[in-house]
Amino acid sequence: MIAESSLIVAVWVVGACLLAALLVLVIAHASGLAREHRRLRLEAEVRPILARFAADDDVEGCSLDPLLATSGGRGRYGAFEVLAGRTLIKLKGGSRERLAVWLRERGALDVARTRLRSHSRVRRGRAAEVLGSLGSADDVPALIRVLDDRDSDVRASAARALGALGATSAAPDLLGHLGGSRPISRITIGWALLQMPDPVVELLVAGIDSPRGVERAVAADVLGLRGVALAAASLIGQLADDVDVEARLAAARALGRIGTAPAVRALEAGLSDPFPALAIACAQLLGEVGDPSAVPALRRALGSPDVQLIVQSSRSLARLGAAGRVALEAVAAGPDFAAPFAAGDLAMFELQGRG
Amino acid sequence: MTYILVADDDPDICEIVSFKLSQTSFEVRSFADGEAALAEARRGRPLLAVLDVLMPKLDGLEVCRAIRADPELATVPVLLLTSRAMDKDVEIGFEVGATDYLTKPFSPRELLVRVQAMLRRADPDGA
Repeated sequence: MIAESSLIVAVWVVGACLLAALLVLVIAHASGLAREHRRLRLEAEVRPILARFAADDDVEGCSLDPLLATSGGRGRYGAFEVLAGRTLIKLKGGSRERLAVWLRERGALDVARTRLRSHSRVRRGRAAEVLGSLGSADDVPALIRVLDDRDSDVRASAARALGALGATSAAPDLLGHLGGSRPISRITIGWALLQMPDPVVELLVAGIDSPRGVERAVAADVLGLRGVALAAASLIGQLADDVDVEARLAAARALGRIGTAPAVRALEAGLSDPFPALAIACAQLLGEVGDPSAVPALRRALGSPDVQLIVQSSRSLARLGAAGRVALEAVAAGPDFAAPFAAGDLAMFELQGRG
Repeated sequence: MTYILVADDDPDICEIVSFKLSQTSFEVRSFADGEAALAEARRGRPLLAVLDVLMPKLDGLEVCRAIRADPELATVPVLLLTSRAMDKDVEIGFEVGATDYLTKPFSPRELLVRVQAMLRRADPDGA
């Protein structure tokens, strides 16, 4: 009897706790939705003011206060500050400078430096963004520490901020965060390295010799995107000898962007690589480089047993001017397995009106 | 009614671009995706289109290509606004028929100057 009563009480207590927990969750969710709704409403209200302030050359900073002051003035100021910080990185010239001056006068920089240590990941991330736009070399050490933040979005914001500040000294730390327990995406790190001034090139060339394949790959990609012809020799070696396939593919892409004669020769050699994806990539890149001297090598690649390599080599030949088309015509008229592919690419070329 | 078409999925940039281009004294109609922008262009020929490249549903390159393929719209000047500034991206932009190209971060003043120049070239007696 007592045991039965205890069981009933226990069930009621557990039920009440579950109900309370559910209620807390619902209230928290509703509260979050309400906050988000309020944020979007405030942003929609101040966005036209931001547009006018940023885009109208006749508007001065002192004109902003009357525009922003309402009964909910503090909320509008806060929303405007967020929008201004977010928009700053998308503008340049007088518009950017106007926003930057206003934010500095509002103490946004000091607030951001403090908020880098906030418990809120949203505040830490936003602080990193503001430092990327308004900060200086003095902020680089703090942002490097934030690369180890427990939140991935905050780490990404710190990486972008370092790129925006042109902090070449942070390049090794950025490359070091490719993978690991607190990784940052390759795209984010690549973007950051791409923003940095030329002194970063030396560090990237050193990155080609990193013991980590992913670092070698990203360093190669960024060198290619920066068009660093001086790195061609190192990249040629990476394409030929690296044990990591991703690093070799990155080297090929980089050489494709650099496009010098030695780079083209290296890509031609890649056409006979035993790794099919690399050979196909080299075929594609030779078409993108557009150097007609690659025609003989691509013509030979049409004899490959790999159909995908044949397809790509034929497409690339169509992009190499008259010499490429002559090679395709010869193949299309012959008995080779590649003949229909060559004929198809010739027909496409003429259909596109470039024949 | 003549108007300038603006398409950008970033509401902040869309607002700034629309405000700045309203200084041309033409109506500005803005959209957050390429599909809606193209539909509007087909409803009524715009004077000029400013298109962000990276947009949902239909990106700026596809909208530009569609504009060029439409006999009613083929001569509409198109300015592509993008964060991608590599040579290849610029080349692709012009291959699909863009008239001009502006990379982000951009200056609203420069945007206005370029648009005004494009309008003058399109209609030397009018704009």
